[in-house]
Amino acid sequence: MFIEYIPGRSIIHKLDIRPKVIAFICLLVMLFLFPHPAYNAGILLLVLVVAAVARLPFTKIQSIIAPLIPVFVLIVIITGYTYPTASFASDQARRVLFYSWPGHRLPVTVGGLLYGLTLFLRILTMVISSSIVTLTTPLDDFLQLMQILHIPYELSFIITTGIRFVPTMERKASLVLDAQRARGALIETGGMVQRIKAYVPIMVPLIVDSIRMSENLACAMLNRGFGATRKWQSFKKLSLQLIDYLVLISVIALTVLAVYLSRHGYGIL
Amino acid sequence: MEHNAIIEIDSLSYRYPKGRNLSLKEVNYRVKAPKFTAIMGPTGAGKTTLTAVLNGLIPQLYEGNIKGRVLVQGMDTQKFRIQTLVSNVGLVMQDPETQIFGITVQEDVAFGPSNLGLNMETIKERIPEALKAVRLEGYEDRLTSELSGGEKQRLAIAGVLAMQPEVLVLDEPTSELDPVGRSEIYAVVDRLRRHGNLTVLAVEHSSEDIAMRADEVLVINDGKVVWQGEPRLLFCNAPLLQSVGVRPPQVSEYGWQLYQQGLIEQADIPLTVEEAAAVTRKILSDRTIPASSKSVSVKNKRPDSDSPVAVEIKDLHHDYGSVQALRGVNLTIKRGEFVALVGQNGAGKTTLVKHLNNLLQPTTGEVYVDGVSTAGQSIGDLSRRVGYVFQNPDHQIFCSTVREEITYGLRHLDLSSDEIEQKVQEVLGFVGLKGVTERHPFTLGKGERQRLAVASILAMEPNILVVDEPTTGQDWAGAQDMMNLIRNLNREGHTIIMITHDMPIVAEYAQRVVVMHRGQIISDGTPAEVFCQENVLHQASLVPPQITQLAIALADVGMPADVITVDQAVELVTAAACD
Repeated sequence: MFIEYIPGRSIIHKLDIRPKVIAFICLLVMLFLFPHPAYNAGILLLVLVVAAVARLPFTKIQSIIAPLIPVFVLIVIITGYTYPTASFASDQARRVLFYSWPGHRLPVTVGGLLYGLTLFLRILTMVISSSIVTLTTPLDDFLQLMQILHIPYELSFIITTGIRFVPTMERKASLVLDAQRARGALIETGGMVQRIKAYVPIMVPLIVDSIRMSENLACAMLNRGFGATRKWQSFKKLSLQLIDYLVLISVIALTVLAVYLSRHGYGIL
Repeated sequence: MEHNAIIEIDSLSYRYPKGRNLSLKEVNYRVKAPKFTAIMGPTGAGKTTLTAVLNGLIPQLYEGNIKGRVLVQGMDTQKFRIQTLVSNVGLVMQDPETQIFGITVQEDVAFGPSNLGLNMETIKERIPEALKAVRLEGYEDRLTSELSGGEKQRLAIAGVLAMQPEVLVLDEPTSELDPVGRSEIYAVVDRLRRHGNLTVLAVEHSSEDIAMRADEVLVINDGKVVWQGEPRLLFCNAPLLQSVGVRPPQVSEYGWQLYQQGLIEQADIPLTVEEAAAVTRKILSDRTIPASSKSVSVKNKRPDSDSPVAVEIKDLHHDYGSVQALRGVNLTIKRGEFVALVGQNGAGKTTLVKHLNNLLQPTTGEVYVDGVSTAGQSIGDLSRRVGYVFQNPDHQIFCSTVREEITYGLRHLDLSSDEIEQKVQEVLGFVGLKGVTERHPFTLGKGERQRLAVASILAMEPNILVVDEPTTGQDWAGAQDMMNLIRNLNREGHTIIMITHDMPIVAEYAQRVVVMHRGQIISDGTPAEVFCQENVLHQASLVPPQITQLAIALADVGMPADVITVDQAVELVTAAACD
């Protein structure tokens, strides 16, 4: 996910990673304060505005959401059926929309459907907002954040190296795939079991190759003095600008307001 | 001072943890003043092991049994940590891919110095210095994943140089690169040698690259240092080279034959094309090579022109996204031909051959194999007509015995178990692997694995064989074995299409050369015809075999430019000299 960073010059790109991550956490808090979909829809709208400001390509977001759509439909249906009527505060929510079985069985409630919608909006908002953070923040910033949080250098090193090797492994995988297809390994045909079996020839060389590579990598790390000291230097030093403080203050104010509203009975079902 | 040598190896012996035999035996070596030492020898001789000893990887990472002592600038590599030794000795390995850690170039160069705990100001000074030394100035913000192989290897060198070692050890730094990448690396080595007091040790198979560069050559065979001295003394001794499995520069081979004929002294055996030209002029004195002898006998004859067409490619285009990899290729290959496909990396060679078995489909244009269009045929069906041997055998091999490996492709065909067994024995016999039928492929040596990959393809009886860089990374003996196997297949009637960067091999084995450049064919003919087209070779960044370079240099004394093998040149010069 980190590798998908899209360089840009928007305000969102220029923000320090810390207000970004704090804003993200506040957003999560807000999402879970209100069971009513209308409030969550409001939050989603806010997030979409931010995405537009960051000039994220619509197709990118679309490609992240598309595979989730069947899950969303399922959630709404299941909550519609299963959410207990007694848990709703308003009469409106308790109203039964229809019964799917003769004799007043398997009721679908308005509140259940609305709650399903809320869950849908929450997931959607989380997916989009986390993409905004990862798509507008370079990897180096994440590493520095980890350092500030006192996460060991070794761990952040593993993460960077892992990311660095994604394209390499992809290339190797396609090489092996081609080599096997040229031998008449039939990947495209057959049933489920056959297809999984057909992948064995690809996995074996790939795993053997990865083991060899990791051995080389260990040597190369030592050749570059890995572990000589535990100090770690970064190119840029994180620094907070005025805009970062403004964002921090407004996000926190908004969260406080949201907590206040939910305590006073707003946004319940 | 007690230790005044830069490198001091005293009766060093080493055995890998699970090794049956010693990988190094009583090695002694000493470097007193900065110089460039080349380490040569056949595969498995212990060259890589020796490089790993120099910075302490052996015995600190790879354990095992070590005897003797290694000092680098007075520091015992068994007593100081590897991470301490790296400031004195930098090691660059074969595969550039696994030596790069940064997402961007400057992050990668900074990796070493920041591990050493240097402060950011110092690191920021060292980055441009190191990049300049490897001629990657201005690359700071580039993504490492987008560099070419040669650039990656130069970056790996920069990463080590940024720690400012006084000894640089290169383990086959060019074996995975194309000729352009190779010459880039040696340009960098030359530069490093000129500026500063760097001691360089390089493991290298290509004697032509080191003949004039190295101050000293160390030949290792079977774990022992079997020869040590100036390159000139090594390369003018063909029997010695033969016995230690080192391929001499072509011009030295030429010189050796002239020496055998009694035409020159052994001390006059040349190392470079210029020296060879001078020696030849001296032999000829004011004679010239008579025009009548210009029809050099054609070495590898092409099949008759009425032989059926094996492959026909018509106006083939292939785009990867917005990149035009092939731009209108037309090519007809007759059955039984031996074609070498040459050109720089990225010229479209691999893209072209992948169309023959539908690994890639044309963007526009048509491909016919044995007269049938490939459109609509499955890769599986085509794999019985077109066998494709990939460069790295380990990508193709995956079964747990040699027998299973061979029968894997056969199980889709309707064969009885007797027929299958017969087939297994037949192909293994052909590639010279009889007697290892039940072995696990990964217990075989690299050359054997490559022959197994060929055998597994041959089992399906394809008429056309595509072979991708069969000699890359192999030593002389391995390369010759592989090429003789391919030649035998060709003589059995297989059509061979070989991708290679090795021009002497092309001259020796191919009947026809197709030169590609930027997705197009820019030349097509016999090796003799193609190698004397200087502008074509220049455009495709190809260097003709040394002997052709010599022929071109001797044009004024009547040497025909289409001389492509050592034997031809010797024949012409001997005839003229004895006139």
